[in-house]
Amino acid sequence: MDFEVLYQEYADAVYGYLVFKLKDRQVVEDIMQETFLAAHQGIERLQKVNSPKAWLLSIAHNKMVDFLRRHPPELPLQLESQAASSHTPSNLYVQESLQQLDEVERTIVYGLYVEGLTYRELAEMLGMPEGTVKSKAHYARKRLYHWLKEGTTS
Amino acid sequence: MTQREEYMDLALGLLQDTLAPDEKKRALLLIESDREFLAVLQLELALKNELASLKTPLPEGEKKQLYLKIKGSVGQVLYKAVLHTVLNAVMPKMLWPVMRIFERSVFANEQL
Repeated sequence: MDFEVLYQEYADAVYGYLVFKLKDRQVVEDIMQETFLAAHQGIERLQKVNSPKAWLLSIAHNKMVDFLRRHPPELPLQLESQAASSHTPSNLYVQESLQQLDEVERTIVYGLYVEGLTYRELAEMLGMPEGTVKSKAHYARKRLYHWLKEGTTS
Repeated sequence: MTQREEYMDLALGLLQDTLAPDEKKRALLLIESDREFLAVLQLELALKNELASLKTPLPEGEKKQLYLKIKGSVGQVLYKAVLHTVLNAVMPKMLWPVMRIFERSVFANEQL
């Protein structure tokens, strides 16, 4: 797979993930650039990875963590915030429910349901054991089930 | 893993179409025979639909623009790597500060 194909295929997934995690579109674009630049420099590693999508998302995730280390909280930047686009009431309800989960759980839920990642891909992306991802996913989904049934996050 | 957790993974796998043929067969049988599985499947479907709204698409124009920026950055990195290798071999060290000013000026103008 050459670089252009990689970009065309997975730019949307990387962008979507970064917008989900970060509010500032300019920051998202900067991290997108850093992510794909790093991918270009390490393109030979692509042959060894199981999932190009998980590989790219792991680079984006690490770049984002680096960025947040360099630019700690006082910046007007919020994790897991709503994207700048319009939101339906249902969307806001989901956002509210997700806020009840911790950061890793939110990422796992996003990866599973929005990007259709497997536990293995999520483990690769987050750099944690597959068993840990699985148990965190089960815990988070049970809580989401509860909120879905109750129709409230309180 | 509890039976409920097993059902949760089976239901999600069914919706994502990631199950092996024997698992898929089992899931389809459970839909007909097990109310608990059916309830889990309904919850998974509801979650999947709700969470789909979180996806933010990258507009096509921005996608192209970003690609050009990335290619530009790749070009800069390659240019520096090649040029520096050559210059390291042939240029006197005292001229490097001048070279860096020149590089900054070139890259700044390229981005305009």
